Amino acid sequence: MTGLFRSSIVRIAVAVLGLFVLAALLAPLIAPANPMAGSLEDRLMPPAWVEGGSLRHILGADDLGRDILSRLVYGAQVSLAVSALAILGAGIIGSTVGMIAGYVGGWTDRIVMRVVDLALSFPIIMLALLMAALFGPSLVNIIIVLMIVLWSPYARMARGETLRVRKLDYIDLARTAGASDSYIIVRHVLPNIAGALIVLATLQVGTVIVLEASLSFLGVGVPPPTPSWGSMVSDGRNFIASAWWVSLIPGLAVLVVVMSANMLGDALADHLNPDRRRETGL
Amino acid sequence: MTSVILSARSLTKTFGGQRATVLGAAVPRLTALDGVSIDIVRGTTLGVVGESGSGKTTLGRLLLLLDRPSSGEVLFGGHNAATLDTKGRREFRRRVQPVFQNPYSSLNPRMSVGAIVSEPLLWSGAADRDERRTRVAEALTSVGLSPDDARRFPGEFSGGQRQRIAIARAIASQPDVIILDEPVSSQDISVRAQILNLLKDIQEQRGVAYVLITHDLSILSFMCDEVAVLHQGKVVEFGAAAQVCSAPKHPYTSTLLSSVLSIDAA
Amino acid sequence: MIAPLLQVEDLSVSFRYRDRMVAPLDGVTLSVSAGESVGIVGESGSGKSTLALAVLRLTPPARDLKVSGRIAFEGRDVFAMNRKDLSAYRGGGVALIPQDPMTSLNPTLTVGKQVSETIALGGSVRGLEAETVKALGAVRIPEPETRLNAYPHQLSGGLRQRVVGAIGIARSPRLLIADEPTTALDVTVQRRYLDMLDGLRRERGMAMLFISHDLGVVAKVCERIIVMYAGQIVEDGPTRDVLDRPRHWYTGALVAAARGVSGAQKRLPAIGGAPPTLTDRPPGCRFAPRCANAKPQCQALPDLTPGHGHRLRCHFPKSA
Repeated sequence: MTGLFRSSIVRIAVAVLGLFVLAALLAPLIAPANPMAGSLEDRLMPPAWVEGGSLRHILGADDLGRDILSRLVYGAQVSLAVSALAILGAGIIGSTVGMIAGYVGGWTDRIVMRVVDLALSFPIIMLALLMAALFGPSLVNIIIVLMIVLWSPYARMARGETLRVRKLDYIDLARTAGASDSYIIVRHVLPNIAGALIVLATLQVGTVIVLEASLSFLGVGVPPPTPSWGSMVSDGRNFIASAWWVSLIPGLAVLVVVMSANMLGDALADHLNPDRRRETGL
Repeated sequence: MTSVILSARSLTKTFGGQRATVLGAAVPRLTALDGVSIDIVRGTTLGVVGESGSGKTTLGRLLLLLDRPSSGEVLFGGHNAATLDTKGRREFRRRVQPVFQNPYSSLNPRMSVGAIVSEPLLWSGAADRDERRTRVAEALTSVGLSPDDARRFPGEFSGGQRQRIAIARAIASQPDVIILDEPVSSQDISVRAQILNLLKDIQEQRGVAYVLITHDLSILSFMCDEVAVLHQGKVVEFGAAAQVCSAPKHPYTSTLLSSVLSIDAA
Repeated sequence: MIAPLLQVEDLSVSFRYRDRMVAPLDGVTLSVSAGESVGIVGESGSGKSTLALAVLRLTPPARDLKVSGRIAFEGRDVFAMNRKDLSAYRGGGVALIPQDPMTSLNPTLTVGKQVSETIALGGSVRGLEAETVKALGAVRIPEPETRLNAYPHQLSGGLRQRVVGAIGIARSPRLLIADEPTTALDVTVQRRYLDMLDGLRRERGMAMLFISHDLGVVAKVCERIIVMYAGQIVEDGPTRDVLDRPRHWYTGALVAAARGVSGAQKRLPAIGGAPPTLTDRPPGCRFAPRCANAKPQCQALPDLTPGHGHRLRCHFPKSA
């Protein structure tokens, strides 16, 4: 694992992600203003380095006079938390389902995989709209919608990896020791497929942040006035030409976080690649 | 009669034979094992010799109850092993242990050596945590490793050492039979001799029986008391090791023996 | 003294592994004459497979990879070869038969295609099918014309390995490097394959470098044996001399272990310990930690006796 941090790309990615997480956690301390309160006289004030801007709103203000920087860091809380919870939930459910399907095989496997196929083919925007219409838009709902979208790749990967591991001798040896199937899955299969699943999760961070941003942009995600990066981009779409900072700054935040997560995920995948010779024998 | 601890009675195993359906293509029927009967006598070594396709690995798996025979029985202590109750099964698992060929896939890279070696003890319900630790230390010492190695992970060990760990695990529960499927085939020559010597030592000290499945005839007379030659799922010859190796009766055995390339000049 | 077909001088391969440089091959010097059959014997970490790949300039990429030394084939410097010469050299001058027929044959191409592909690389494409059939016949595949459209998975292990052999000899190389060609084969199949290979070699006057860990196999097909240990050559001499009267302690121990028990021996002769890994080689003689005859002077690395006779790397060899 330590070899991973030798790469400067990894260090930058981890630093950037760490920065955003820190900003999200310390939002109340960092934010210069109340993200929900705006003063109309500061409407569409540009960022400090542009003519007309001031240090009162370092990154500018939106069309309700709300401070962009404050909304950015509070929005980070929402975007990152929603993404993390969705990935965690989807990961746990998807992996469990996949492992059981791969280990038990037979009809269980076939049925589960058909359900996965179904889940993968479902249009998520429609699902999100449906959920919003039925249950009203809320933070919890958007997390659930995201989980429903995200779980199937874990199931697929967990199943594939389980099939690979199941053939290894130490599984047979556990059986001849008298171990129960659930013990084997938890103690032998899971630790050896976890790497692949973690890589998947890291690569999904990018997907889910963009997804949440898109849903919020469309109005079926995080409900206003709670700031989220997606809704912030949406808020500014009528002023893109004149007050570019309202959309661009949260957009850049999404870009940077997604890129960092992807770079980290790629590096992790390479690092955990079984083709890398780790033993000293060649 | 009580000296026979494990037996195969007319064991047959076929694979496939499914007709093509909408869900998949036809799978041809393959007979891996065809009416094999053998006895394993307490404290002795039975060699099971054959080439690929002989059924020797299948026989090993059936004796370990890893697969179910298509017909025939595995007898343990006189009873049909397939009909054992939970308690009987646990006894079986404690007393019949395997060692496989590949020391790299035999050890879970994410488990400590101590956890690996104590796994059979954990499931035979025989020992509490302290006793398990003692037994693990004792097993590791018996195979020429150190009790401190229990804390380390498989990745830190060489192929030969890993195979020793696998053997330590096999002897930890003090079994009556160890079924070894090509235990030294993937080891260097110099390591091979060490491991075979170790197995001999263990047998002498503990009186454990071995079923030694191998394609390597050169180790037969050293390791085995009796030898069964398998060819296309059937036992074509059976007898004392010295006898089979020097005066084979079946033509296949002769072919097999004459194919062995010895170092000595022809 | 006729110039040797292959002359390797001080060949070393090293790369960076976890902050240190390791050398799977360390200063190897050897020569092979035309038509000669030489066995290379060693255990894990001996460097024998690295040697085979290096001769063909096929060393796989690695961090800070350094290949040094000199390789001359028919007098020409292999490291100085340009693309065109290299293409003629590989397959045409020196060919490789790798170990595992499962991974050395492309499962999506027919056997005929794979063999003819190789032949076509040698230049002429006229009469390709006939040439392909001839190559398959040379390795004694029965009814070769019927096998042209077979896929590798449809053939038995022994036949597959013969196809690999056909690919190897397809362009009539002067030197064949066989890397453990029979390890994956059944014992009865192995015997027949070796007979075929030996016969083919003599017929065509090919030299052969036969890499194996199996002394019995090498005893059968090789005139000379080179023993490698931890990246170096430790003994090099005529087969019967090396096997019956080994002079290096490692060779002696290896031969004893391979011979097995004799007479009333209750235990196999074994060498304690294990071959050193790439990273923990002792500074002096690399076998010294396991050698029954090690003396204080063995803390210094012995040189390999030069020349063309029976070469040895030992301060205190066993008496002849």
